[in-house]
Amino acid sequence: MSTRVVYPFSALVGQEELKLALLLNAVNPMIGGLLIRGQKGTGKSSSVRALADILPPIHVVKGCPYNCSPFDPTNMCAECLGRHRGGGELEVEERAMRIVSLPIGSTEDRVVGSLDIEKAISEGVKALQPGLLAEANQSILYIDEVNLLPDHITDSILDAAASGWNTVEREGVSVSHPARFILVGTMNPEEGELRPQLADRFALHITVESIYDTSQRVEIIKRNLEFGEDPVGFSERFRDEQNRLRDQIVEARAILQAVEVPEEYMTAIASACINLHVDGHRPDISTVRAAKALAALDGRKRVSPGDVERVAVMAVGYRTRGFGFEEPAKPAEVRDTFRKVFQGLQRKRGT
Amino acid sequence: MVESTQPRQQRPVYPFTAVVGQDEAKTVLIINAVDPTMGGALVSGPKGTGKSLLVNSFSRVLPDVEQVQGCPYHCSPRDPTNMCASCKTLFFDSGPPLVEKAPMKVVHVPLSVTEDMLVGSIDLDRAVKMGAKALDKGLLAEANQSILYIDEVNLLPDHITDSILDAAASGWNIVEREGVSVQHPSRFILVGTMNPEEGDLRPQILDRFSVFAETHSIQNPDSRAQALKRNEEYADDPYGFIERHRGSLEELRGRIVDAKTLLPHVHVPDEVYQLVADTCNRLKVDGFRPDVVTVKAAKALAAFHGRDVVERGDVTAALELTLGHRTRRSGLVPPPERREIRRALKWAERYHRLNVELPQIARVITLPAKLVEDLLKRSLAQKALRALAFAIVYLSTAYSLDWVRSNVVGASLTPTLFALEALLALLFILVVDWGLNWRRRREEVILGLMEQDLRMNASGRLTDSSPSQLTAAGEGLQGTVNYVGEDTSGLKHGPKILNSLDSMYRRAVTRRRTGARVKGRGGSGGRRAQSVSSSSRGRYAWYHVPGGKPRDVAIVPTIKAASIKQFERPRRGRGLVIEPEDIREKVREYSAPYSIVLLVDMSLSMIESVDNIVETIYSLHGEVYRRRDRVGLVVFKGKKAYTLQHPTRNLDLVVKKLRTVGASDFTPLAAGMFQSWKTLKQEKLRNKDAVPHLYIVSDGIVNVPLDIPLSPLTRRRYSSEAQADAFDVARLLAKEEIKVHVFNTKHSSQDEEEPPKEEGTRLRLRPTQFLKELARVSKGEYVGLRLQGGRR
Repeated sequence: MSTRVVYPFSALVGQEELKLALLLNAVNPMIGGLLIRGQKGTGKSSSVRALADILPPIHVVKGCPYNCSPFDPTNMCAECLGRHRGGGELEVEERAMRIVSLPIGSTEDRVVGSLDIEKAISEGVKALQPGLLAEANQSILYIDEVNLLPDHITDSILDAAASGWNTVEREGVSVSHPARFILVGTMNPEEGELRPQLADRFALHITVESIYDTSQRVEIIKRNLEFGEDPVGFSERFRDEQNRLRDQIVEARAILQAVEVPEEYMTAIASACINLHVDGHRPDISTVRAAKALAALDGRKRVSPGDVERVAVMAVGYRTRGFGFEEPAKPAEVRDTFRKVFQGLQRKRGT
Repeated sequence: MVESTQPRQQRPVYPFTAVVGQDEAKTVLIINAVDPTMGGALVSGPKGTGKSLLVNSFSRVLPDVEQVQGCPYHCSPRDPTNMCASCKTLFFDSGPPLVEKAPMKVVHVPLSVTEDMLVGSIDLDRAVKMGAKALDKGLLAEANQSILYIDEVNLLPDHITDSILDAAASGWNIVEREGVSVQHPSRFILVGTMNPEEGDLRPQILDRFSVFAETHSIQNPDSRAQALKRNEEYADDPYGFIERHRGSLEELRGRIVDAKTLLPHVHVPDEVYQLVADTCNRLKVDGFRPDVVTVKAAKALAAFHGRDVVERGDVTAALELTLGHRTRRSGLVPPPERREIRRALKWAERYHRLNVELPQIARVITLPAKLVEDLLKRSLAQKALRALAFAIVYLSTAYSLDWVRSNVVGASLTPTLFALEALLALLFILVVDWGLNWRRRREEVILGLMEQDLRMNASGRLTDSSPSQLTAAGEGLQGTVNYVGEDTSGLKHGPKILNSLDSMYRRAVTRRRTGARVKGRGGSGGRRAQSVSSSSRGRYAWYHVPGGKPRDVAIVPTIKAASIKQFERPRRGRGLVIEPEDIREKVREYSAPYSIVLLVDMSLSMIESVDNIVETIYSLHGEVYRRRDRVGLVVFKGKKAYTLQHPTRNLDLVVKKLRTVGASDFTPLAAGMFQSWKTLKQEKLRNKDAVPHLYIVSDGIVNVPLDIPLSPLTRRRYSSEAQADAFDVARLLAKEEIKVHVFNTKHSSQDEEEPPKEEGTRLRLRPTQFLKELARVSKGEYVGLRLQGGRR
């Protein structure tokens, strides 16, 4: 499928939270994306690229340029919807979820799509040449160095991410198509900050730090060199592990719907977010979704307070607070708040 | 190596082996040739030290590469994981493709390169003639399996550098532009040269160059003479000269080829990994890339010397080449010096040896292994000190206690007394231990406080500890002075530099937004910032008829233009007939960012204002990253000015650095202004549309002139040379169209009213007068502020 051999996900040393955050997104695409911050050379981009190999399969309408889902009429392009309404059976194709990377030098027409020149010139037809947003539908849209992206490109992506639809109105073409993607970005904060609106679009935030542990560093060097010398052989060594991980994701996806979050936990999460003065409701929602994914990943059908605490750091930890006047909560603070709320819950149940 | 010995029909290039000296630079290039996956070399040095010459001549040393015949992207024929789509299909359908050998090229990236030229864009010719979407390949395609060479890499525009690094990091060039969507391999040896005099490189870019070398002017007269001689010989008879050096060139090429075959068989002992990781750890280098690269470089060096085991010398040499340019601790600590690297390596080595030997010794003397392990976790210096202190204190205490017991008390040894002695000795040890750790703890406390401070400022919630209360006063001068109200509201932080700077910035921004409409009005707004540029940046706004070769074609306008004339043209089939005259080019609209340099006076009298300045910087935050503006920091103290931070979007860095600067007694304002002028000029080179702004924050008491005056004439008019030189630089700033804003932190209306003192034919200006005059000369604005409650 893909031309390149990517470094196996299971061969990544350390960075457990980062790996977890990526897996959670793979299990539950509804979580809403991931932003990875970190210094140069800490393996941010490598881990995202590595994810491609273990992503679960998705179902698309065969031949649909926008990768529509055949089972969801509310999110279909006009053509698929027409065929669906007309009673015609939509041909289903199963293929792996992709990581669509958006290079920094992309032009707007390639991102949102624009007039197909070939068709326009040779046939005189005004047709849309789908852009990256169409390709990323039901998949992952990956932006390396997201903080360096030009503003007008960012705006288009934000539009699509917010509504789940990409509307193209340019150069005489007028098309709307679904664009529901998992937005994954990496950035090095030394290069400049991200616009708050864009930062808010990423449900989970992770900060990657350098490992200052000699034995882990040695392992990193060794694996890196081995992979560089013989990528195919190296990947082969991790094949079993990769397959296991992929199966785990598939299984988790299967039980995700069945995972239940007790009503009182919802209340607990909400009150913890209130206690932390977090802006908006998105953190609450993503905490619940991520916690469900974590439970599913562990094969459990019930969310535990431990799940919530673990994901809360990613989902709540970097949110602005008090209308942006307070600094974001530190991981320890988030953990403490959630722990306290859950302890209160237990006490209440005990009495 | 038979085929490459034949004389090539190429223009003569000075032979690599005939270059005198610069061994380090040669080594980094050779390392990259031996292991092309190394990741690039950066050569830094003053002008005229043969940087570019080395790189250009290096291509003639390199062995030929194999490539798929006819592939436009120069794919490697052996590795299907790194092939373009068409080669890959070919490879799997009809077996190994036809191979041709080609010499490695040096693909130059000119400073004026556009993104289209670099990554490629739609092939216009084919688009128009055949209506096909094809890629007009760029330099990144050309450079696959070759060398991509950037001269003056520090002057390359940021967005170009980003694209190059993107490709360099992944080995692939992904083109998503103008309707073309192509991926092709782009694995090149990135070689950059730079002259550090012209400015630094962003640390993020520095980090991408695996190895780094400096070139120096040769100081040895004999070698210098030899270089001169060879140069003359080459100029007289280039071909003969090359012929004479053919032997050494061939030998070098042979060695590289041998090293390449040997490379996969080079064994890296486990110890080397440990040493490298530990050394990098000790130096607190960011990320893991340096570790990996160092081991690679050490391997390449070993292979080049014909050894199949990496030795200690290789590691030392590799470390020096791979770490010399890397900032540490997220950019807060400058790159390590040679000495520091060696020391870290030595400690790492000792530690390693100890790590191996100590457990053995411990087993012999049956010390509890846990104690040893615990001891090993600390750094070696501390450990040694601790062990020493432990031994000395314990022994001496035990001995003296024993002496006291037997000679003074005269008691004989009982278990109780023995236990007491042991306890006392232990107590001593604890005290010594505490003493040893004291310094480190103190540092941690201070660091913690500083961080807290930074965060508080970042969140905009300063506590009452804000030390100085500034109020502002200002009076008309050239109609550009601002009045800032007096602080009576009892707010936590009254109107300070913050407010005036902030409002000024906002005003400037508004001006910029509306700039396009008020064009031609000129005035203090200066250049319009909403500039229309035909560079391929920004949003496609409208179109026009191109002046030269069209690069950025607006398709629909082109088609529209063609369709009008279809009637008169002979039509073939259903396609449109598009003539070159129909082509329309895009005009892009692009809001130019500001490049702001804060020039801060760091004399003792200014220290109280630092908090205000910090707050000001943070107040710019929102606007800065939305507008892609960049803020830099230049301070002057002592007798010199320092560029603490080249303009960046990350204000935290600026603030962190500002806080680390101490004060001094002297105020070399002219030097500071000169340094800022240089910094801003360089910013303009990087982004020609950037609008330069200089914010000078000072109290106007200047006392250090420039080392060399810009104009001796000005000095005759003022009694203070320092003031005269500042005026000279101000004129320079005005000439460069840099917007100057002068903030006087000690505005005094008394000073203002009094006429300047005349000392003979020379003028002596009071501080406030001086700063006002400075603003006038530099065609900038003046803001007067007064420190209230502080020292006057």
